[in-house]
Amino acid sequence: MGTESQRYDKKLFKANLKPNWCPGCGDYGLLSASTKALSKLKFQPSNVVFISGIGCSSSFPHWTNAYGIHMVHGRALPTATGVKMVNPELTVIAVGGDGDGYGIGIGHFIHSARRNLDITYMVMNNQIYGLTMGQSSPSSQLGLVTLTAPQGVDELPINPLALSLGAGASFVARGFSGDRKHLQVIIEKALNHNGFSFIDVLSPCITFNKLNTYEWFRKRVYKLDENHDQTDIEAAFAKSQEGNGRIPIGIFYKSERPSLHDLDPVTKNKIPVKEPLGFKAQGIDVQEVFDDFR
Amino acid sequence: MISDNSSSSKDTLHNDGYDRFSLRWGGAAGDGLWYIGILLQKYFNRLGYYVQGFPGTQSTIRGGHVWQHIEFSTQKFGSFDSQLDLLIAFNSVTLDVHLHHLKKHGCLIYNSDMKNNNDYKEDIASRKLTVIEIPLKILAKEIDPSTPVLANSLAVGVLIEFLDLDIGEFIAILKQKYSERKEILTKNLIALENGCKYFSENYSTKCKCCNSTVERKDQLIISGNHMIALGAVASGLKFLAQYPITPASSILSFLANRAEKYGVVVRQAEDELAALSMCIGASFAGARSMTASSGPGISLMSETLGYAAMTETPVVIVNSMRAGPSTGIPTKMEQADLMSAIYMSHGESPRVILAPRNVQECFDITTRAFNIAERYQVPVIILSDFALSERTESVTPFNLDVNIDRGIIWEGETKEYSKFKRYQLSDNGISPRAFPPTKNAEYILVGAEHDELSHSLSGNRCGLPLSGNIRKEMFKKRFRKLELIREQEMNPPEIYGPIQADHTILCWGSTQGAVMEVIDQLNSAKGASWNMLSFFDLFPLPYQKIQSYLDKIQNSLIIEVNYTGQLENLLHSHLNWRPDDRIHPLSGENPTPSYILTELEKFSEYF
Repeated sequence: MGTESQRYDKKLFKANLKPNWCPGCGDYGLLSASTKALSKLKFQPSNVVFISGIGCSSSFPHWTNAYGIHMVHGRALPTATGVKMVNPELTVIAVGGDGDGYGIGIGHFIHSARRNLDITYMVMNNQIYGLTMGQSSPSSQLGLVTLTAPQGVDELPINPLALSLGAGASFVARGFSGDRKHLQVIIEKALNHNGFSFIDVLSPCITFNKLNTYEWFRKRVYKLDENHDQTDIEAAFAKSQEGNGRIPIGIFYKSERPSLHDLDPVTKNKIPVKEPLGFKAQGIDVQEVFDDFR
Repeated sequence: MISDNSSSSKDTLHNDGYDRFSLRWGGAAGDGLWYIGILLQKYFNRLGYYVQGFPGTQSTIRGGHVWQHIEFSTQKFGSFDSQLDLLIAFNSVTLDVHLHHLKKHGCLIYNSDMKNNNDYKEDIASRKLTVIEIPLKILAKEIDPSTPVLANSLAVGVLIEFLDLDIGEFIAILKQKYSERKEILTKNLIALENGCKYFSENYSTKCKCCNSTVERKDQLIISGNHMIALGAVASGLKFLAQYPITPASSILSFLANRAEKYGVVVRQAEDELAALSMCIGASFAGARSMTASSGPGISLMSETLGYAAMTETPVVIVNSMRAGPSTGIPTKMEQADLMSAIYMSHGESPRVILAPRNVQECFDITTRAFNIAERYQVPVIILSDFALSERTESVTPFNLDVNIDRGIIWEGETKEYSKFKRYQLSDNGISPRAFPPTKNAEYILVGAEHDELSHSLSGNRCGLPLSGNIRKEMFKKRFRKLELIREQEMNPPEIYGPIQADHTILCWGSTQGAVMEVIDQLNSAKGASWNMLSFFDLFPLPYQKIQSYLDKIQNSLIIEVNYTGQLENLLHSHLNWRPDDRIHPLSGENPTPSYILTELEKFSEYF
């Protein structure tokens, strides 16, 4: 009985539709880990909103059973801001790719982090533009040959971990879609974190990125252990700079500070969508409204 | 001394008393002129006059030239004018820019501390101007050596004494304003009194205004932007996201100041792309949401506006138009975004465009905008402009309780909607919405073409015959709503003046007041027969309703503050009709009644 109900729970957040991703795509790893994490933590589909931008990975919400917004390119995070700030009781999860989040939408990434918007943001980072068939991405490795960099990429890649730490994100992590169990643990912690929880998910594109493959990552990733102090931002920065063929995964940094809706003058006390509409219904004195203009 | 005749006259100007008085107050940006201008408007409004105020600025925070136009009257009027009864000049640029607007026998109060770049003696003498010279900065520094800012209150003292009005009401305004800053209050009160004293010791000329109308004493003095903000809150606004831009910024700052009190989440977005996206999110989650911007920011929103139309997400977008294209004339008036509002965003998508004509209508149209947005699940654009956003008018207190219609909201199984289908095909094109956390309604909002359940047709069924007719049916659904709006919500233009007239002036938006005055003047002075058709519901254009109005026109002229004649082209494309003549003011200034009359006189066949 126990195992049966567990299996049922695991499927709760899975849609009936089958993803249209390439077989073997790294994005499957995150889909599986996050739907399982939500089930395990007893979330309800009606209370969860997945929000994405544009790209292969941004089809993600369609493959889940929950509310969702498949937004225009790069604007998942401000859209998530609107949802969360009118109903902080909802669990809001933004997902997308590296082009969507580190390219066209990077401004929103920085601002959402510094606001400590209480959402989880997971970027399926495959270091290439897949949906448009293989152009360079802001996280493409130097030297990677792409459709738009036939001589090899000549721009330094974005370091999403260092960037989010610098921008004030209160939860910064990296996972590997080739290690779903480890990834699921990170997601569970991110979902329970009050504030902006960011996970860079290494998600190989098996079709267009022939360099950063599962094999390539498996040789390099290692898990941060208890020797890493998650509350020490300097240690987190140091880990974010690690090179020489070693890629740490796990929770780099975690701190407690009020999230945006804890501080906003309205949401700190109220759930806006549950409040009555108009002056009278809210008990606002008309004369007081008009006195501002006399 | 800029004049030889200063303080020469010892009598009362305009013996009957002015029943309408216009003054302008100019100086350098950063001197606190804007603020004192607002207090003066409140003052005349409290005295019971009908007031209009209008700010003029260069887009410079310090050192540029700024001015405030204030006009008050015993009677309501349509628009302030460019002709002045009084000019208060804090610096010589004010003389350079505004002196020629002073009427013959007008008055000039000027700061005699200032250096003059030009010699205006001849001009002043030939136009028989009364000149009052006050060393404002010197007197101000006598009260507080650290700042010249008290020159403002000094000048108000001079002005009120000169106009022979009640100083008590201004003292009350200052006391209210600085109730928690006693030191500033004391200094301002001294400055006010010193201004009065300086004037009465050195001058005896008075400039009498007719007594104000007592019944108006509870009226408000309010700007178009503030009215839009009030209209939004009255309609149940719960979320405003906005990026600062003149002339839309005061909606953001006004509501930010009252966010907690009015229960509106107010967020300053990192850019306009974010602002509208935030609103989409808020609306999806069940909140009435709004953003406001001007040309450059509106351009940035165009992709997301298309998303709102495609996903049938209600949202209200205020475009307070400014002179474009690009940076244009920052920040001046233009009505040149009608076409871009209609066609904004790629592909073809429905939207609604409403253009308020005056400050009161800013409230009324905003409340309509929210209901139309939710009833039909479309983006609604409020096309305001600089001249309306920042203009203040006296307004009689009005009802803040408005009808709120949120359209069809699914909260569980009903006879009509057993299963929730976000884009259920229906006769009128409208389908139910549901908000999280409603159970059994989970769906994914998507900008790709979708089926009734909001499943994307790209993705799994991209271009495949499986998609069948759905694309076509969904297009028809979205545009059926537009036809329904045209029929049920959109109003024809309003007629002002006789129903049958020899000459008809057409206009839209904020020029209504100025054209009204022109019609009145022409009809009374020349015995001619003029009327006005002013448009406010612009898109979808209710062309069937407009036809009968056009049929009655004898000779017509259209006034639009743009180059290409955008309303004219809209009318032409729907009704194959064009006016006989047209005026396109493009200086960036608000077209005033005198300006329009001067332009009309160029068409000699009318007179």
